[in-house]
Amino acid sequence: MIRNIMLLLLCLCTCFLSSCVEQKYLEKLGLITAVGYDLAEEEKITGTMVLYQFNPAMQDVEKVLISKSKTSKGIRLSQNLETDHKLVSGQLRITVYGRELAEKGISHLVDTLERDSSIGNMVYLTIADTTAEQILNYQMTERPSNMGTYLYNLVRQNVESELLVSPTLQEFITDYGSVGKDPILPLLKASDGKVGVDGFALFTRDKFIKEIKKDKIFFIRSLMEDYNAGSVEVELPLEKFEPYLTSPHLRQEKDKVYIMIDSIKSSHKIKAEKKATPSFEVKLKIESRLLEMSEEMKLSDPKALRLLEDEIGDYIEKNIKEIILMLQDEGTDPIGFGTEYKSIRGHEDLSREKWDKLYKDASFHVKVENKIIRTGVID
Amino acid sequence: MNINVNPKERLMFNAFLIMFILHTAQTGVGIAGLPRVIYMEANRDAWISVVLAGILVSIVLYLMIKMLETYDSTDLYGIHLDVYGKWISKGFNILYIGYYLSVTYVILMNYIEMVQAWIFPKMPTWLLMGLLIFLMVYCVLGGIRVVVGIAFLGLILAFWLVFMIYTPIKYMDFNHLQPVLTSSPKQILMGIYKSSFTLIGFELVLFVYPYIKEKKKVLRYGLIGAGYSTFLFTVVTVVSIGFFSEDALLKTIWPVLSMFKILRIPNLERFEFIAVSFWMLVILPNICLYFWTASRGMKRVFNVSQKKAIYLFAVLLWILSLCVQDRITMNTITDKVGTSSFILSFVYPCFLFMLVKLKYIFKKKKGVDV
Repeated sequence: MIRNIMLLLLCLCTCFLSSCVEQKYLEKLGLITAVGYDLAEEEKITGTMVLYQFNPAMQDVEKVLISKSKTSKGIRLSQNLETDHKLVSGQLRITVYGRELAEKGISHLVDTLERDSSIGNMVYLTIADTTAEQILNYQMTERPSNMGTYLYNLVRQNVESELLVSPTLQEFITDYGSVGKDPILPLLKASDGKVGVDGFALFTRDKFIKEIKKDKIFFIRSLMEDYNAGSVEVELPLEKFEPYLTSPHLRQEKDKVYIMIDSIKSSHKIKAEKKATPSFEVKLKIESRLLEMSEEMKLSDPKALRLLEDEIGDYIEKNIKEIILMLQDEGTDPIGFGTEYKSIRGHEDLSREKWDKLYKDASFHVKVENKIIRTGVID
Repeated sequence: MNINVNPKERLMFNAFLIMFILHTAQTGVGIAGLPRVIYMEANRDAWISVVLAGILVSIVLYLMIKMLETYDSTDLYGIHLDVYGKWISKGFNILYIGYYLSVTYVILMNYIEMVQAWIFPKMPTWLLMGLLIFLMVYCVLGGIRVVVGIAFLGLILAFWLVFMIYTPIKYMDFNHLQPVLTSSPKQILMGIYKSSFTLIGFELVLFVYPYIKEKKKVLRYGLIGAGYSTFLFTVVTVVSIGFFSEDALLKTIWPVLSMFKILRIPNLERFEFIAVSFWMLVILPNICLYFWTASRGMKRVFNVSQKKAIYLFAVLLWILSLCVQDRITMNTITDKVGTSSFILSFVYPCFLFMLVKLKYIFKKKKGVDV
């Protein structure tokens, strides 16, 4: 009997003592949800941190801390002196890098995120249009309870609706670490009382070199990942559709027709050919639904629809070509042509420098097949 | 000490359990770091090294079991006695006891390092070591049947971890694996050599053999167990190479755990915490088996009671854990033990197989002559 009681007590001990190894009281912690880094004078970096701190007496659970140091963990150390809550980074959701800092390279700051086991690999990385401090400290007209969570949800819902290329730490590290692929991150901008994604930052290695506008991302993303429910706005010359127009055009721009397609299902294929100068065949198949037109058209006419399909395909093809040439010109490769080329090269290894040279001379053949499956609920 | 051991019927176990013993002895802390270690040698053809190493394991395992079948019911300690005689065999047996004790030590220390790096950075080594040793001693005191039970349960309870590799697979880039077969044969051979420390454990069949009921079926089940381990190692290596970029894989100490970092379950954001904790169930059978083998050796060679040997070794292990503090030293020790594991688990058993067979043929001839 006594033996059994002892055994029971021992079992209970394992239940009750298991949390005694390292205590962390939620009320005494400052949960960092977002960090931002900027370039400061004398090789220092300015760190901005957004925290959650739970205190029943306080209304405002958000707090922003700013300080300067040489390393990112040094910033945390000096910020710890400025708050009565112990700073922990397990809830870190998003990091923002200032434009100037990103232009100098961010790999050393990304490295520490990866090294710290308390930070997950699904943290989002973003670039600020001006400084990270401005983004994180921005007073929006409609204030969210926490800037970090707001930015995280902003990026996440856009990734989920396939408007952004997923910018997680994991993907950055993979792109940065492989020969023949460069990272691409969203660019945040704060203006008019709100913070949103304004464009995309293109990288060479870990250096921010060029930004592209948000309407161009479709053409890059379609070659990186397949769409399940994407959408894009296309611009077509009006004259070709003249015979099919039902009413005289209403808009001011007389020679263009704008069309919005959505529910895009796409699949892409990039094939590299083994030659001295690399050449790539890019194929993109799109199935979509027509949602909006700036002019009214007789869509019940199959000819009109065929013409529309072809024209939209041509438009996308043209834009993809332009974008690829632009990327080539800038020497950045977010799509990963280099990894494709590397995988067919056989025994020779491809170094970064070599690929940089080869990329400049590479040629691309783009082919887009477009198909409109539905035109909404009306013809 | 006798060459043959004939344990009591109630201490023996069924042959199919050898599957579980070999597999759990093979998978331990090693698998968490395996992809990186081989990738450093064989580059993107690392998985070929693993497959080849697995085939090598099967061959050595086959030779071992054939060697055991020459006798009625013996273990490696007994074979040594038969081949080398009373005194030289003692030397070899002590070597093996020391070897298994150091393997236990290395596994424990590496697991503790893993816990400290991922979950409890402030937890002192001696405390964790004490707790794990306590658990291990408790298991081993129960005898071989309890140890085998732990192996069985350990596999069943940790089996679901295998499915967790599904999320990383979604993030794989198959371009990382291509082009295939570009590494030189030397690189691939080095890869095999480096993976040997992770693959050891299959040679424990040399020690548990006397306790198996249906000795005829050992070969079949043994090969299934080792084959499953090879399969698992290959999958993990392939996924790691596809998942990580080359630079990242060379830097990551535990690629398998780092892959778990991207897993996210709604009410459990950081899955790797669970993975590291559950890893204890993976290494527990591991250390129990090695520890049992070492303590069993003490009984066979010096005829001391196994209980005393267990207590002695437990204290020894705990004291040794106080000596090593940093990762670099532990790495050197792991490397040293790894090197000896290649010799003691792969090379030497083949050599012993030949000796045993020669002796057998010699004896037979003599018998015919007389």
